[in-house]
Amino acid sequence: MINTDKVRLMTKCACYIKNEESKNLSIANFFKRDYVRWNVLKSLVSATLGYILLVLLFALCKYNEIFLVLNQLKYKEIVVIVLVGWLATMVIYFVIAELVYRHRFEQARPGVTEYYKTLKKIKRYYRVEKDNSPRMLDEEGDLNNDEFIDY
Amino acid sequence: MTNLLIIRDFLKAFFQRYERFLVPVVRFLYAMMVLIVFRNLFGYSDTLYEMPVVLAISFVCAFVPTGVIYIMMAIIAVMDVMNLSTQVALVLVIFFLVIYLLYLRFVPGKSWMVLVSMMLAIKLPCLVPLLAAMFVGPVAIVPAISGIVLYYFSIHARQLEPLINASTDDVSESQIPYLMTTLVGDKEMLLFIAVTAIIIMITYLIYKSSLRHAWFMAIVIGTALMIFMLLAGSMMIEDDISVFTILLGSLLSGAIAIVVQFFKGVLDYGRIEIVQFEDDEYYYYVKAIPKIHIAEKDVNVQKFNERDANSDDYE
Repeated sequence: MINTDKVRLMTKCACYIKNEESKNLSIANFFKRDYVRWNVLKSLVSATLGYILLVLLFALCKYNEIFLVLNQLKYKEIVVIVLVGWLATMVIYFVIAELVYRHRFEQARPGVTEYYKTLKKIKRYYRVEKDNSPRMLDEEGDLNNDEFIDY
Repeated sequence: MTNLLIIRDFLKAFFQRYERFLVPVVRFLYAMMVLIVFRNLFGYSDTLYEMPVVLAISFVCAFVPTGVIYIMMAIIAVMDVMNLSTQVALVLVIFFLVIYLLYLRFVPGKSWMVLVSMMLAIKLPCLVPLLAAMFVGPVAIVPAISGIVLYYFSIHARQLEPLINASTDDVSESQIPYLMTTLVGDKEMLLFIAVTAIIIMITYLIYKSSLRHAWFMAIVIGTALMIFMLLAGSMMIEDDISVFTILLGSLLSGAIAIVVQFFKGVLDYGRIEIVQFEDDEYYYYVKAIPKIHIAEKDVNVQKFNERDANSDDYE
């Protein structure tokens, strides 16, 4: 017979997996610090790529002027300016990413905790069902070897 | 008012019931509108905007997430601009990539905001900050500004077209510097960017405050400030934005924002969930329907004197 309470809990879990799986359940695999560090690292990489593209765009805008004074360019100064800009971008993105992913972890945690609590309840139902079920009998009506109890 | 509330509840129930079909339809229409706007803003390729192609692309977009729609639309815009010039297309690629790398990676669900902001910039630029503040918050400043920049990029790219067609060597060498110099020096664009950012912040702060009728005050103050800032700004930069356009655009945007606010709750419904799972004994196919309460017309008119007072009976 179908246990409606168990089905209700299973539906709750299935809905959670369907809607939140990609976002939140992956959080459960990480400790908070690891999750934040991993995502901050990814953000810094993408911010670096974005910065390189912006520098490239700037160079493309000025390439006529750059080409004319190619021999007189102060490469050291240019490299220093680009590096300082990159460092500033990294600091800004580090702070933003740290705040965003900390907040995201904190927000997702209650939902994930609730999901695992519901899973535990379902497990309990299974245990009760198993305990109350008639012992497994083989074709002759005897108890299976693994279910034999020696009184 | 009761009728409006009944309509709203009806719409809410309707959306809840047919969400599975409505979401793809809305995505289809959204993609189609973006493509039509692209045809007006860019439109350098004829084949990309033929009706069967537009319908096919929109059909595909109906079944993919909004982030994928953003990528598809970016590819289409770049392919289109390639017909004008490879250099201009390269700048557009960099724009789309920078928006993605520096912003959309953090807030992936807001990619639609870039394209909507771009679409509204054509006729109703004043609506962008109001809707952005109401629906998204300060996080919307970046995509709203990106949309405005993309719109002005398309205008300056079009101005470049006759120069490119003249095909002199000087022009082919200096397309990107010319485009970027005119874009960065466009004071009208800078004015709209500044106004959009400020209005989003102010409207959002009032909208989220605990004041009575905060949403109404936010829209009214936001609209009034926008009119003032645009008028003052256009006088300062000596731009030719007409006073009539600013007034009409802002007031219309305010009115649309009020209507949108009223129906905003329509989308705030519990979804019908269809899930499949199994245990050792059964396969389960469950359709979970949230309980809803539809307000009904609760008007009881009791007539105490049904006879006409002016009828002959009283004479």
